[in-house]
Amino acid sequence: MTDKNGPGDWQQALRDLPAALEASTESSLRLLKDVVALGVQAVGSAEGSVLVPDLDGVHLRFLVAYSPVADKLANVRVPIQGSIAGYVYCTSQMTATGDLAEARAEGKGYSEEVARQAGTVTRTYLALPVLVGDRPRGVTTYINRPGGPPFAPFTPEEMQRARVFAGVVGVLLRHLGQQRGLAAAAMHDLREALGELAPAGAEGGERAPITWLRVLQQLEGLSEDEQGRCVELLELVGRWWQQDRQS
Amino acid sequence: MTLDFDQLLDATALRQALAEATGAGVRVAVVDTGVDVTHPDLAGIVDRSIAVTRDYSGWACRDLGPGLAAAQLDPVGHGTACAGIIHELAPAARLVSVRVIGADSNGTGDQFVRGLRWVLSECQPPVQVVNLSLGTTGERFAGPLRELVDKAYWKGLILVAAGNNMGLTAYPANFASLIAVDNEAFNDPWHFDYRRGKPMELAARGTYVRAPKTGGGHQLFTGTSFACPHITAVVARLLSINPTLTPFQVKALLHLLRGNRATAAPPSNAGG
Repeated sequence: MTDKNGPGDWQQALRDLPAALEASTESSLRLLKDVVALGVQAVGSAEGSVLVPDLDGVHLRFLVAYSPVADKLANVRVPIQGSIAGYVYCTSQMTATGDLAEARAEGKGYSEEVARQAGTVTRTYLALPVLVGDRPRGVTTYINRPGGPPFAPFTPEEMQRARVFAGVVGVLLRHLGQQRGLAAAAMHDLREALGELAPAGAEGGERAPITWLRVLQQLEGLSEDEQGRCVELLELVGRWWQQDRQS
Repeated sequence: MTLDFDQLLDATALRQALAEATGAGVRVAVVDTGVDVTHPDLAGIVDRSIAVTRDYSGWACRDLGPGLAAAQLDPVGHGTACAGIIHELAPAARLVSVRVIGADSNGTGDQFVRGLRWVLSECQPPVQVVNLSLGTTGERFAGPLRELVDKAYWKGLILVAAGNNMGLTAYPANFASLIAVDNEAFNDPWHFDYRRGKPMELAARGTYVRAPKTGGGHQLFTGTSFACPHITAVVARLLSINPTLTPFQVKALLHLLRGNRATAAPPSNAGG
């Protein structure tokens, strides 16, 4: 970003600013990955992950994963409606399951489906809600043990450690969300400030999303009761809209 | 054997009656993720399965017809495990499954409220006990849930709810008129303790409990969710001894039974 190579370079440097701004959130994501890896070690699991709600509102997706199949998990979507992780997300209740040594049950649930997609087998599983305040923002999971099966179930002490890590993940998730929101808003402002220097296509179409982004940021600052009333209002409008379309 | 409340206040008579009871004549609602009635452990014990789903007028309760596959009945497996624990400990109790999380739903507090309202006002024939191994931390549901919990209390319906195991204030477990349960790593399925002054008054076995798994087989489950059905089963047994017991009386008897051990129940019914 220095001007030592002539007047053309500062223009390119300014054009590169939005990308640099966007990349700044990567460090927070890396920090989250490091914390998940540390959690895996402290809890004594083989793998761990953080799932967050997908944009479609009916699935969870893997935001970060400490796993040999982390790349595959990035493409896996877990239904909120039909999974233990979804149950944990909905109810804010920690849940742990473990296979019985006596027999490996013929599984037909979604964990088996995830296992098929990712190429892993989940035998010992611990899922905790990731909360910001008292609101669930995701789920953190710990899977299996190092080495081969049979795996001992997670102990109450290990679950307590997992609770501590869930709290830390909650703080980092909130931070990441705020950082991304600020970066997106700043990017919009930056493009306006750059004017004709902005890369082609950087204008048009950006205004609507950024308006929504700011509305969402404002909503986040409301109390839970106020947010609840907004949800009720939106649901009412949605039902009215559906009825109106049908009639 | 039917004993009146005063007779049951004799701890020896109470423990003996509890050991002989099976939950016969008692219907228990399991408000949860559904119950896999195709599982061999649960065959023939569920009288009715309903699901709370969204329609254009809001949340509606519909019967789940016969012939559904395990994953359609309980895609998560949570409710199946809870039902299995209740059945294992109160084998003659009948169950009603009320699915408020799972397929065709998104597990909001609204669904939960609707499901509980159905249990209280619309379920026929009525249930006597409700297992609530779930809850919500959403403050906006506290009011509607309190109203329903109070209504249940005055109707004489016993609600047993799992406390939150993340240390959060959760509803309805935080309401004093129902029985809220915490998880302890007890080995004995009949062992529970009383915790004076705590929102979760009772602590029961909820760590690695063997229970049926959706689709067949068994799995180990941990959480307050799985401690709750242990107390639900004890309540079902108490009501099979005396179906006129009120929530107040049931709490008094549970207090009398605190520190209960397997010796009070036939070993054949003890969970693994």
